[in-house]
Amino acid sequence: MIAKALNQDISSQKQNENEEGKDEWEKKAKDARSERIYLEEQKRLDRMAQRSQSHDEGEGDPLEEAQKFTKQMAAGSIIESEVAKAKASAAKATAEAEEAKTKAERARSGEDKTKETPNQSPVKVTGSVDLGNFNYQEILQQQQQDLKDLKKDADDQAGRQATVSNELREKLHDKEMEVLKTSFGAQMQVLTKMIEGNASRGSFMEQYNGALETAKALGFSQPQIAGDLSVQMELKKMEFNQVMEMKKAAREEKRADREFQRQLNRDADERERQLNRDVEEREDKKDERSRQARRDDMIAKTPQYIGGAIAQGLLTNEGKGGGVAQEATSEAPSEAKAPKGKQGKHIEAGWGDSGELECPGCSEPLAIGPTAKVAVCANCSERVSIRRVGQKPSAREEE
Amino acid sequence: MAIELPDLKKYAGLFSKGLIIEMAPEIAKGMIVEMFKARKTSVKSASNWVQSNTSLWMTLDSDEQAMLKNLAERVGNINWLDADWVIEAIKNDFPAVASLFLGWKKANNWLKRQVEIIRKEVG
Repeated sequence: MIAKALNQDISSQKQNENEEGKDEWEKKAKDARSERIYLEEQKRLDRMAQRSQSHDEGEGDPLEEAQKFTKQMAAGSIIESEVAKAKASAAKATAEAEEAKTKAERARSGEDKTKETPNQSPVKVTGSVDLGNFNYQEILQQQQQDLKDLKKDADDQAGRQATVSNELREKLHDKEMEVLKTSFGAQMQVLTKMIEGNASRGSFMEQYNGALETAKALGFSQPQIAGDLSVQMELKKMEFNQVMEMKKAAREEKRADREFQRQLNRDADERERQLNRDVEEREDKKDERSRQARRDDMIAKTPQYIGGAIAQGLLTNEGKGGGVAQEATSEAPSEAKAPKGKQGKHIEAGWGDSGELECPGCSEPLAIGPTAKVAVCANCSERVSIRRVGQKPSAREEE
Repeated sequence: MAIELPDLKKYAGLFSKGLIIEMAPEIAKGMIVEMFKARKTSVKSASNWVQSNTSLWMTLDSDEQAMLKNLAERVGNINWLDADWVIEAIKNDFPAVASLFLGWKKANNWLKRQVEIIRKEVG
């Protein structure tokens, strides 16, 4: 009962919907058709009015008329095509209207069928699904957040894996160290045992004695060296040879020393000869230079000699050497000796003493005046101060 | 171009004159040394000359004075004749006398005075 009532409600609702759709379609088709026809008629009337107006304006240029005619023809063809299109669209609208009508009739007939056969699949499910609003920014943000979360998870997991890997590596190292320790301990034990085993053998002499004991036990007899004369002879011969070799070596060493000493002496003689040759050469060169200097000096002093010769000639021609020369001759032997004093930078001389002494610098004669306070060498310009000693005479002339 | 004999004589005269001018100091040096040697000059005699303020020009005889004058006339310029030059001239042959003139101020002054007198006489 309930199902029947439901079917009836649904069918009545369906029928109502079908009738409403049909009416709407028919109304729309009529409106569209009438509007199009009206527009076409309006356009045609306008064109006709334009043509009549242009024709009434009078006769003009035949070319312009031809152009106008051509334009009118083109416009006409356009209009005809537009009309054809309008007709086609009207036919289409008519066909759609017919189709809608057919659908409406079919729907009505369907309702009748349902009324006639209510038991054949009366339930039809129609409806729509609302997909909602899609906010892509939110979606993008959500996806980015998800990506971050995923990355974070991946990093966490990688960190955990690294931690686990490190722990495992540490464990592996520990295990390897344990294995090394174990093997090292085993080797140490073996070595310790070996050392202990060797130590238990005792010293070399003990081992040697043990070996001898073993050899004796095996039948080996030790040779008696002291009692063998041939061996003693051999030993003496060896000692003799050794002494001879030692003496020979000593002689050779002495000979080498003597040879070395002779070589040293020869080198020293050679050096001395070379030195003497150098000295002789130097002396020869020195003599040569001095001879050359004398020659140069002689040449340079030629005018001086000339002057001297002139003066000498004059003096001898006149035969009078002058009173001064005689006076000088008489005075020369009574030349005062050099005053006593140190020959150095300072000399001591009595008041009024004059004379000559050797220059401390170049050994050339150095003169001291009776009241001089300093003596100057004419050759090397050495200055020697003079300190007067003794009692100062008041009548002496001071400089 | 060959040089004729009179020209040669003239050029020889010019050459000898120039040679004398050039060599005058050396010639005068030789003369002075020879005069000192003739008088057997020593430190003692030189000291006596200085102490007694002996005139060197006056000790020269007339021929020596004429010779010096003649030389000065030939040379013309005797600016090189001074006390230092005299000391330098006698330095090699009379080192002690030269040393006396160098170290003893009174002797040096005396020598300067004598050189000035001689220059005036021959000039």
